[in-house]
Amino acid sequence: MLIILKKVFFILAILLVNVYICEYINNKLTARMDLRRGYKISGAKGIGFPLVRFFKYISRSEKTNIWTFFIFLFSLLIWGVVPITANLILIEMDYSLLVALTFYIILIILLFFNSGRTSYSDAYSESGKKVLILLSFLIPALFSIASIVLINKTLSLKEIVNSQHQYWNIILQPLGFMTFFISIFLQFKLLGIRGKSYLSPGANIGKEGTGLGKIIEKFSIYMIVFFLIIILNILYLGGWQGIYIIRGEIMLAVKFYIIFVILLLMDKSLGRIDSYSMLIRINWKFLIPVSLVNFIVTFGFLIARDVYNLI
Amino acid sequence: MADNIYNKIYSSSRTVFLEEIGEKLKSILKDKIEYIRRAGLDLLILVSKNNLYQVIKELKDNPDFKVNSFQSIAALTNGKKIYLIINLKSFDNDFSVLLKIEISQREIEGDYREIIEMLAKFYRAVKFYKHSGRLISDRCDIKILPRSIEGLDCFDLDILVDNDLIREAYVSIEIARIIGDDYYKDLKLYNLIAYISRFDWKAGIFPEVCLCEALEELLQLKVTERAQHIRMLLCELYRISNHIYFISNICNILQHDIAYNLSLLERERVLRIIESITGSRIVPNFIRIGGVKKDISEEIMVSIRKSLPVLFRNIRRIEKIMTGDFLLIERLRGAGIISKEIALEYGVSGPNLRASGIRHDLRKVKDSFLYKDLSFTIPVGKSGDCLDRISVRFNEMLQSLRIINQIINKFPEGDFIKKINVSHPEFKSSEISYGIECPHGLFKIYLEADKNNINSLLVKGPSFNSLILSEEILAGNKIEDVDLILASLDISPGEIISS
Amino acid sequence: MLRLIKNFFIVFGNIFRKPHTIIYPRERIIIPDGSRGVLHLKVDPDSLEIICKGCGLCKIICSQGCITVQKRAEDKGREVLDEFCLDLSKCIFCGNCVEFCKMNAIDMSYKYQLAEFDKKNLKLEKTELVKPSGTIRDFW
Repeated sequence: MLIILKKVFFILAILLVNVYICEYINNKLTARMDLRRGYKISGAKGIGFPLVRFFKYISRSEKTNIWTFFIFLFSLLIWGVVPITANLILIEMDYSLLVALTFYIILIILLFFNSGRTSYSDAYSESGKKVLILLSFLIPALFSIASIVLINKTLSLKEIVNSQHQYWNIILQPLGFMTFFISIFLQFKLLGIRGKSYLSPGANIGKEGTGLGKIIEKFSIYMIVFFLIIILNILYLGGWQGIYIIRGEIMLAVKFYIIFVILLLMDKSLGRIDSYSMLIRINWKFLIPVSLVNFIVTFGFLIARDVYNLI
Repeated sequence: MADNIYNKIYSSSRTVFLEEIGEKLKSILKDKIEYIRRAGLDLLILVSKNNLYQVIKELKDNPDFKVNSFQSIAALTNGKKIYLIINLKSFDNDFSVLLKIEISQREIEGDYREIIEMLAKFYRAVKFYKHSGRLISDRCDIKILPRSIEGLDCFDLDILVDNDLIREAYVSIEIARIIGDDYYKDLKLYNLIAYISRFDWKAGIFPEVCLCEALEELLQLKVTERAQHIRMLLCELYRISNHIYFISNICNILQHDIAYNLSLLERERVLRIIESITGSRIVPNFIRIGGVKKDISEEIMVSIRKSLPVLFRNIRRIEKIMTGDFLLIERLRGAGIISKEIALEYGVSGPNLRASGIRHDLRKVKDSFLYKDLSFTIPVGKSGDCLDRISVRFNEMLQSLRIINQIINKFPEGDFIKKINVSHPEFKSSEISYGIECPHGLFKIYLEADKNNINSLLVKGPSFNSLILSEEILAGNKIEDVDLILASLDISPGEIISS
Repeated sequence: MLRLIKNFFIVFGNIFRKPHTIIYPRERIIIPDGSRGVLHLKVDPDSLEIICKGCGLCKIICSQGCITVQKRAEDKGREVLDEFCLDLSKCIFCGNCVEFCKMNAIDMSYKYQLAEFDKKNLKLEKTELVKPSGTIRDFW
């Protein structure tokens, strides 16, 4: 019992620290990308800025809503299943990949309910559309995941990492990595980690927002982004596998932040993609066919090798 | 019958003055029209309300006139009488007509409605005046409040939708405080010049230039070459500043941060030059009757000469960044198309008109400035969508830089102002309408002057026509393109208040 | 597509470039020469007296009516400025008063920091208008 509590404490601490660092990077680095100086507080390069913003939000109002509470719950529950490192996992099971994906889909649907709480009727259908598009980006991701599962012949995330001890899956599946990364990026953009969130009702309300509900919403969006990056790490980049003398945990942190910064850079360098038709076209005419071809090739290759012993 | 129809026909400026003619409009104007066209004057016709229908019918249907474009309508008070001024234009024959109608003081409302109904039979754009004042917010699907689109805080927009597509759009300018010409009544001339630049805060020099040139024409004053060069220089600098602000606005809406930041930096560079010349950024108060307020020193010339290549390079860079981005191009292409016919019918002018493929620029047509000595081209678009409107403005900026380069290289010596008595000027009493090519389009002034003072003054900005047009072109587009299309029309809120 | 990759590297390079913004109270940009700020009453450098004689032309010129001038007669019939008040809440900084002044007694300083909590503070008296605004060319 104590061990589990200790683990929970560790996981929460790691998440909180990383949210703090990511929030700081998000504000400071994006400012520098704009040739701005960014937030400065008491001269220490604005280290205390996320904390100040936290207190500012929480001092406005403490109203929460049942959906925000559920979002908070589920965004934490994901980490019971997804292993951050080899030891930091609460429940070990053989189908952890499937369970994690289910949690993720539930989380997105909850965000949809949360966005519909305004009285303005059109905002509901608007954000509903966006969530549906966001979910449709899961289809190419699922194809890529399926081909990974075929190669490694397991559904457990831990096993997938362990099977990459020789070489990472990115070498075997470059096309799958590409589609998975692009779909992650588009989800990242739709979630709106910087500036305004597209899921929030109303274009201008999303910019400001106050209160505890806003903090929870932001926290859960960070959780989704963390989840996506860690899944990408586990599936393609070898997870917590160490290289030579470098420990696996350090490798994981380095990979995590490199991907996060690359996502921020890409977000900055591209304009707003909020035209539905364009998003749907990117998805159905580019991502899904490429990932499907990748899946079929992998499937055919495995059949040829294992069933007919051709290769 | 024809005797009473055409009481007076005369060109607005100092030239033609015909009165009490007992012949038909066609036969009278036949010889005059060629002269009016060549001199670039406006035709002013005083009509009574009863004969208005026949006059407009003949103006529109007769192939010699072919007045097919509606420009504006405004009320004017002179003494105790109230007039309506209707501005129509013929693009084929290249001349514009002002119809001046006296309406009785007791039945202003009824007469106005009657005239609008009559005009609506001929011109589609008048539809806007018919429904204006009647909000439809109770049955509209989406109501866009003035605060929600950045930079456009002067009108409400009510939208009816079919799923994603806009079915109908209605603009209501109830919120705008409309300034009549009473506003100018007691003002002295120097204060009028100080005030008038507030009508266009995006490019403040153009109203001043327009007013001063109109008054100079009344005074029959010729400005020195140096003053004209300084005026041209400022006009082009303000044109660049306005266009680059437009680009930054578009980028802000599309959240394209690289181009947004770069374009704001370039605007800052231009505004600093302007501030060093005039002393202010937005409201210059720099043009005077007979010249300009201050001379340009050699230091400023050097600084302009230094920053020209930098500006050229950076603007080209922004253009490359924007046109290379295929996601951006895909978003802009095909949004808010203005076809040639609609653009002409609604009386749009300036870059918006040129984007739809009509080569019309007052700088080339009129010889008021010394633009004929300089070499520059007029960029023209093809289809008239958002992308064309942006690329036309980019090219115009580059052409403006070219003009500035030529101006600087042959800057003449001489006086920068001709001193006149500003507090007691002596005008030739007549009416004048004067137009100038401002960055949004055709900025026009109509004024009636007495011997010593200005009796009445009408200011007509080009943005109003773009706003009327937006009702027409928004229909059929997607909801997410609304702010993009409105921003791409380059509407200046100050002009809408003044109309 | 190539453009997008280039844009990516532009954004990446921006991190290491010098930022263009400034932190306002600490750093300042020099405003251009000839910019129009708050009015300033000139002082004769020899006799250290205010040049303005209080003729009141600027009061007539001002379209906003933000200037009030009063003069008084001293001994030997010499006219001296008694009171000069500028209401900043009305002033639009058009600069017409400077242009029309026959004595050349007023000019525009570079003073720009005009925000006040109390509306009374926006009425500037003679003694405040005589003061040069900080440095010769104030900053923005």
